[in-house]
Amino acid sequence: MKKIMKTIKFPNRKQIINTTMLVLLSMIIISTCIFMVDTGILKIYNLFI
Amino acid sequence: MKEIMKNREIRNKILIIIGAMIFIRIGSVIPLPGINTDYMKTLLSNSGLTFFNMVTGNSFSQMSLFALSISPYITASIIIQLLTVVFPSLEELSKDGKTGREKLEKYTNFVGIGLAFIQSLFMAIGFGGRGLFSVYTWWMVLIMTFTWTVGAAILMFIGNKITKMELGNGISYILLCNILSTFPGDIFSLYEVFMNGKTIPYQIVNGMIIIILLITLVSACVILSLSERKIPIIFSGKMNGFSPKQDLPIPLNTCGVMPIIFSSSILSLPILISSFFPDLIWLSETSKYLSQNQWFKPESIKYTLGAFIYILLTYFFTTFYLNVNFNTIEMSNNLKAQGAVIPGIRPGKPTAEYIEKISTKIAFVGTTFMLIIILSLNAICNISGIGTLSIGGTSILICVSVVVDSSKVLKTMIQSSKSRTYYMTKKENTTSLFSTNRSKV
Repeated sequence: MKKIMKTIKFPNRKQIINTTMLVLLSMIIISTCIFMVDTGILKIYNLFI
Repeated sequence: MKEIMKNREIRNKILIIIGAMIFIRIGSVIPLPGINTDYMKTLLSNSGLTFFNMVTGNSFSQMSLFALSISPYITASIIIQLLTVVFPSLEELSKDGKTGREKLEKYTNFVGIGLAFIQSLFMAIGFGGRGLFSVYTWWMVLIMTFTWTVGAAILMFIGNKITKMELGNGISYILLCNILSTFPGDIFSLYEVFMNGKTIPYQIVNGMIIIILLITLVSACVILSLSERKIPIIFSGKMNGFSPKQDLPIPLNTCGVMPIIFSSSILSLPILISSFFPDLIWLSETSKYLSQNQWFKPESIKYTLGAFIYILLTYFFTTFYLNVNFNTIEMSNNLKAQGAVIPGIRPGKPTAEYIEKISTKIAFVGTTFMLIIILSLNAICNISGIGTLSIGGTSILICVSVVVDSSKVLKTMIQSSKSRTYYMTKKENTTSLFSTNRSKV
């Protein structure tokens, strides 16, 4: 296991931070948008029902 | 972001995907008439169907048009991939390039629709008579079966259409959208458990712990997604200015999240079946072993045995997925055709065997890393009493993989579009120069 781990090239700190920020931002933005869309759809639906 | 907005082709494709996602949300949120949604909420709080509900983007709890979402498609792709090992004709198709893959995709869709029908029928009969339908009649069973099957078929169609747009996998986008739709609810649950009614310092400390845990989890998933093993290759002959020494990268997460999705789907099937027959005590007891919400709980530690089944299934699907989708013979042939060799390894079969040996080892390390992330978070959630959350290792890993892959695809598309524009401008300049010279002559 140790031997295999030595051969693996891990990303550097900058790459990790940048990608983590990208993923977190995407998750926050997309989930907020979906939440707003869901709430909007339900509000419109309740208006008609 | 600016470059995406500037590029008309990519911008239009993204707008189509956003439109499709809004359509999916409409079909997922609005409950169907004649459905008692309270029944599903009670059922979900008592059973281990949280993962299934997360995959469907809460539409299972709403019992809406897309109640099954893409779960029949996932099960169908598992079945088709298993069948490729059994039937040589299917194996040939899987190795037959684009045409073969398109045919396999067609079969997967057909099997998916068949499975959606069976699953819908079982749901309508199993849940309908127990309080899901306001009126339980045979025509209500028929209408709901038809509606849920059509809903699943529409999602498969949308997923395939998005995939054809070459901006990433459509099914992954739907899965990401479904998973992220459950996050606001989870954040609210976390707030209710750890912050609501607590003193301000306690709230700050708890909030900080949750944020740090989330960042650590995402970072671990990012490391897993970006790590790779580079196999050095040497090109023989002239390289026109390029270095003759290059690498063949094999990602640590070679199989992606597919083994995890497969094993979680397989485990959630008996749980779903047991919810149709609540009177069968042995079945509901067995399903508790398979429910991820029951693992690592100090008061019922015996159910943790199910985690070992999960680990074994994940390793099995890793090997399986690697055998079916990682064609080392093709890779070796491509290297040979390009005049590339791995130092110390003869071209042809020995190269294929070497790549297979390395990729198997790397994939197993990747799967172990993935299992550590998922199970440690599962243990933290279940021990602290927030086991019913859908924010877990599996969902975060799926989100990270889809976002990282999509950003790679977007970057490649922007690059290719840029170079295309550059060559077009260069060509136009050359043509205009030629025409100007000719007019002068």
